[in-house]
Amino acid sequence: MIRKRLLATFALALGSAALLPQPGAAQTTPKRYIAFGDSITFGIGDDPNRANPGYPPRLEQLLNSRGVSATVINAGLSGEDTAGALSRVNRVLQDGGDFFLLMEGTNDINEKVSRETTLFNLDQLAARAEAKGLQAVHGTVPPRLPSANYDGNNHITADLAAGVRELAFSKQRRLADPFEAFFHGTADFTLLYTGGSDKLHPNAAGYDLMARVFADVLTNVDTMPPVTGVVNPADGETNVPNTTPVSLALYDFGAGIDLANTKLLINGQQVDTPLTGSTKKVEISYAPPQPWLGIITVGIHTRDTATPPNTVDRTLSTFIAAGTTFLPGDIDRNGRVDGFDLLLLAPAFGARRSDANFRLTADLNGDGVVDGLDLAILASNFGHSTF
Amino acid sequence: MAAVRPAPPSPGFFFGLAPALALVCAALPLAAAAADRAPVLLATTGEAALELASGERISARLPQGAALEATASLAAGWLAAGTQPAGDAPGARDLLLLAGEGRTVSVLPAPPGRAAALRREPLPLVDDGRLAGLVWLEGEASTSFGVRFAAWNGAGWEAPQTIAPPGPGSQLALTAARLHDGSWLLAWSAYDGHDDEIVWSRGRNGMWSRPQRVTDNGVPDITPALTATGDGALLAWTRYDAALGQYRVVVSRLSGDRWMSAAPAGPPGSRFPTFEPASAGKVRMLYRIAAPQGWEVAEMDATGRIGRRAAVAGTERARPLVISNSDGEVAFRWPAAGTERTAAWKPEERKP
Repeated sequence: MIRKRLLATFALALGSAALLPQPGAAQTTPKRYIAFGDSITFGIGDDPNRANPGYPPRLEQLLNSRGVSATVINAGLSGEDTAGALSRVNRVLQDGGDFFLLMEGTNDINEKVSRETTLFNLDQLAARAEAKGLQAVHGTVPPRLPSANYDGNNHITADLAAGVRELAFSKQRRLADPFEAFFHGTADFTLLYTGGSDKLHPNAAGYDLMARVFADVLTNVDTMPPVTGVVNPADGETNVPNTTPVSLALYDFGAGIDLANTKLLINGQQVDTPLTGSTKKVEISYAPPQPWLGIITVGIHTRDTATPPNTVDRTLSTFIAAGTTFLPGDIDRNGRVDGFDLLLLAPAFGARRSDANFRLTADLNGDGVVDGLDLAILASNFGHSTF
Repeated sequence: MAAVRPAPPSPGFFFGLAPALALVCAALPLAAAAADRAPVLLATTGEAALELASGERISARLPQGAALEATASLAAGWLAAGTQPAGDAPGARDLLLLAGEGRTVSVLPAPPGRAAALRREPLPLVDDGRLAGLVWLEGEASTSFGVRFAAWNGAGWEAPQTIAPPGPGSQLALTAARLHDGSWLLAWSAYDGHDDEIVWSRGRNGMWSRPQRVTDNGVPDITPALTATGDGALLAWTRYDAALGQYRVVVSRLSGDRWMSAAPAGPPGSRFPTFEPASAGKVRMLYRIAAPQGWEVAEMDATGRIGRRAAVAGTERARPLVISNSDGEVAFRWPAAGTERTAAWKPEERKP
C-alpha cells in the first residue's frame, strides 16, 4: 500500500503534472473549495490540539503542497442531515467558489431517511452548486464502527455508497470515495476512529486519510481501484431463488477499468461472463448454468489502467440458495460443523431462553437451554459438511 | 392509551457495569415527565441504558452485536425492542425484545417465522398498557424490506402476517397509533420507483387493510408520525417542497377512512416530526428546525390547528424530551447528555 502510494506520488511528479493547475503564473488566485457536510466534515473526533479540525484544513495543505493554490472552506455542520442541508446550502454558496465537495448522509441513516431520498437530496445539493458555477464532487460517507447503535454491519452505509457512485457517474461528477478507502483500503478501519462511545467519527489518522482521498481526486492522482455498485444477490441474503442471476456494476472514476483483467468469481472459480458498458462503468451479469445450491460467494478480480494499476480481489457477496439445509450443529451456517460452531456454542453454554446470552441456534434440540445435549449433537456431526 | 413511539438512538451514555441482564437502577433527582411516556434510550448497545418516566435509570448488558431501537411503557413496566445477530446466516439479524418490571428484566422470544435474512425497526404496539403486538421490517436487503406484524396473546406470538411485501425500493420509518374505535393505524415511507411516499394501513381484529398511499405527488415524503385524536388521528411527516427547495413538516387529519389535504405545520427546513405526550385535548409535535439549527415543539388541537410553538437552537441530534415547566415555558431535555434548555411559548400568529 505504502509502496503503491509512493509510486503514485512519483508518477504524479513526473508524468501527471500537465493535469494539474500550474502554480505561479498559471494560477494567480487560490481556487476556492467548499467542503460541505456534517460533523464528519466539520472534524468532530479529531485531535483536540489541532486549531482547525477535520479534513478541510489538511486538504488545503495537501493541495498547496501539490502545486494547487487552494483555499478550503470548512462548511461542515454537526448533526446535519441532507434534508436539513437543503435549507443551508444556498447561504453557503452565496460567496461563490470553484469546487463543492459534498460528503453527507450519515445522519440520514440514523433518522430513517431512505437511501433513495438521500440520493435525491445529494443530487439537489450538487445541482445548486453547479448552478452557481462550482464543480461538484461527491463523497461517499465513511463506514461506522461495528459497535454503532444502528447499521453496525455497514450494510446501509455500503448501499448508500453504491448509490452515490451511480449518482456521480450518471451526472458525470467526480467522486471521492472515503468509504472504499476506509472499509476496503485499510487492514483495520476501526483504528481510524475516535472510539469509545463515539461510533461515527474518525480520529486524526482517519481525517488524514480522508484528506488524501479528496486531494488525490482533485489532483488526478489515481490511487482508487474500481469500486462496486449494487450487487445482487446482496451480501447475507438467504432463500435466494436457485436461478437468480448474479449482477453487479463496477465503476472507476480515475483511469478506467482494465476490462481484459476483470473477472467474476463464483465460489472462488473464475466464470466467463460478458462485460457491458465502458471502462468507466461496467455491468456484469451471470446466470448459473445449474441451479444454485448451498452457500454461494461472489467475488471480483479487477484492476484499473492506472500506472501502477490499482487492483481489487475480494468477495462481494455471500448468499444462501433457497432450499439449502444445514447439519445440526452448523450454527454459523457455513456448510460445515467445525470449531467455529463450537466457539459460537461456548458463550451460550448453560443459558436458558430468558438469558441474554441464549442463542436460539445453539439450542440444537430446542429444549430451551444450551447444555451438554446440544454439545453432543454438535460433536456427532463434527467435521461433516452439507455440500 | 400509552404512548408508542420509536426511540431514536442517542449518543452513548453509560453509568454502571452490570452482568448479563442484571440491572443497575438509580433514582435520580430529575424532573419526572409524563407518567405514560416511553422510556428514553440512553445507550443502545453493549451496556444498554434507559431512563423510565419516573426518572429511574436501568442498564442491562445486551448480547454482542445487539442494539435497541424502540421502547414502550406498559401498565406494569416497560418494553424495549431492537435487533441482534440471528446466528443462522452471516449478517442475519432477528428481533430482540426485553420486558422490564421493577428490577426484573426478561427476554421475550422474537416472533416466529422469520422468512428473510434481516429483521429491523421493531415497533411495539401497546394497548391500554398491555403489549398487543409488534410490527417490524423484514427482508433480504435494506432496499427490499416488507412490513410484518404479529399479535401478542399474553403468553406468546401469533403467526406473523405480512402487511406489505417488499416493493420497488426502501420501506422504513414505521409509526403506529391505536384509535379510539379500537383499530390500529400504521404508516411508513415507501419508495414507489420514483420517490418516497407515505403509505398507511389499518388493522382491525388482527386483519390489516391493503396499504394505501396518503401521498402521491412526485416529491419525497418521509419520516411519518401518527397520533390518535378524539375521533381520528393526525399524521405528520417531512415533505420536500419544490417551490421552497426545502423540506418542511406537514400534517394531515384522518376523517373516517380519508386523509385530509396535508397542510404545512413547520417552518421551511423543519423535519423528522414525532408526537409527544401532552395534556388532555392537546397534541404536541416535536421536530428539527434548520434556521437556526435546533428543535421546535408545536402544540395543536385535535384538528391539527396550532396554538403555540417554542424552539431552542442547538446542534444536538438526539431527540429531546419536551416538558412543560410552567405556563409560559417549555423545557427541552437531553437525558443522555444531562442538558436542558428552556424556551418561551409563542402564540401562533394568525393571518387575517
